Amino acid sequence: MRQYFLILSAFLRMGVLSQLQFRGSLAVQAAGTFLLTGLEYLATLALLHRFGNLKGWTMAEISLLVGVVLIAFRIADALSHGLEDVGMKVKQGTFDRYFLRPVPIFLQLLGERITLRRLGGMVQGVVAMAVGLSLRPDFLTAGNLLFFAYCALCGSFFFLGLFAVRAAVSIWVVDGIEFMNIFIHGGRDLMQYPGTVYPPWVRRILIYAIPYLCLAYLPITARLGLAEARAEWIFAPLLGIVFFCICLMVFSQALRRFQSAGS
Amino acid sequence: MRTPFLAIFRLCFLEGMQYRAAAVSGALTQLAFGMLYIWLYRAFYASSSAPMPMSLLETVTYLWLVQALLLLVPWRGDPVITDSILTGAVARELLRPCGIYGLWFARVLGHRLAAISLRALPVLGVAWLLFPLRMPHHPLTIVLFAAALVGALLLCASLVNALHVCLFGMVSAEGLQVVFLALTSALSGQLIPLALLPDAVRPLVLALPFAGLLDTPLSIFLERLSPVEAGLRLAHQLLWAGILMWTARSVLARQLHRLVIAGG
Repeated sequence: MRQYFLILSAFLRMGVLSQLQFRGSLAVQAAGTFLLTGLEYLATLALLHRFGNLKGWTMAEISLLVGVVLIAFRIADALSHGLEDVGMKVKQGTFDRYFLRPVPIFLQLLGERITLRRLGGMVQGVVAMAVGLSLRPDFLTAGNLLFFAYCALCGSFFFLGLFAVRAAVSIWVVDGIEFMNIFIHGGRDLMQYPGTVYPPWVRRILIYAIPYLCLAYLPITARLGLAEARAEWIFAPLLGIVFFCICLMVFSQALRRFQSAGS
Repeated sequence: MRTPFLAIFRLCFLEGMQYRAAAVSGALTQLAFGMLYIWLYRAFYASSSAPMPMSLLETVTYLWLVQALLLLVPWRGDPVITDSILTGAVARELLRPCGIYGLWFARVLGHRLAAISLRALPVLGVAWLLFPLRMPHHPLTIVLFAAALVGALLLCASLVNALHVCLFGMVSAEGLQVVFLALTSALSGQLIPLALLPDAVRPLVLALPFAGLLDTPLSIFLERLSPVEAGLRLAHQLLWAGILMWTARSVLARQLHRLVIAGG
């Protein structure tokens, strides 16, 4: 187990160092990612400017939600480049060689290529968080910061789980997996707003079926006492890790069913 | 003279119409995102009692039309053309006895038109069944709306081709494509209806070409513009499409003049 993580960290270090060789290009691409996610946040701010609040949540609290979700998403996104084109690898026959190496395939794919430019979007999360905290300085405590980091960490496990399921689906069906974006990008977007935005039956799905709301909305409400919340909601992000484990099982099931077409 | 371009347009349209599975997948995605946005805007409207520039009914209709006509927003270059520029395969295209700009333009128009016509009706149909939408009252609106859609399509193709021309001097497309994606999605009305933008920035955004992609046809559909204003917005679309085409063509001509083809 331990040696696997040594291998993974060696992979990742290699990836980071190789991308740092082209700093100018990296900077342009990171700036692009920053701009893109930044505009979505700006659109939310424009709406808040127009409407004043969203179900009682103002710019401060929503910025904190956005910050946690974007940081979580970008960490998972930067790690999951190798998982993204599994369908292509299956089609081209290059997926077979992963089975030959004595390291779990999931770790091989994770370590394959860390994309630093996607971390540019993480800066956006940090900016959103800074905006939120500057509007509500009373939330700025070491305990809260640790709590946000814990939510973001669990959140990135959750998103990695979703990426793993997308890879599993693409082993089965190879093409036409765009609909998975509903769950990944749609999920990332819906997590940035308070859960009371959604009708009650939808909210139940977003908590019990796929625990989107458990990663940022529920724990942050409970921790900051934003609405009537139950104290145990601060443990809700752990469901993200449980979800990740279930997704890994789905992924390994897909691997077991994988039949190479020969290469 | 024009026939090769018409033939390519027809071919690309027919080719695009083959991708029905992708269209179903895309329509499902757009329905899901449409639902998400409807919930969000409903919550926003329920949170404020101040008068808004757009009613909730208008906003809901706007959001569904955005999802239905989403492919009018040219997020990125045509992948085949982009690749041909970056790999140098474009040299082969240059051998053809017709201008390469017209060739690209016909390709993009054909593909876009096919993709939009496959998706727009299913998305709008489902939305129409599920939600009350604000339909136009005057027959003239339909005519203006159709004209605005044609204008938006032309503007979309001229924006994409301006991007292609910019790519001519580059080795990697990624940086520029992301900037292009950000501009077109944020300033066309896709991310937020332009009427809801803060009053200070709205005139600027409306002056830029991107507003012609979605906001112009949708504002006409919702009958938010007087006939004169509608005429001005249509002229704005065509003016920008003309400027972009003319600039891109002349820049392209200069670049082709300098172009060195290193073997093949």
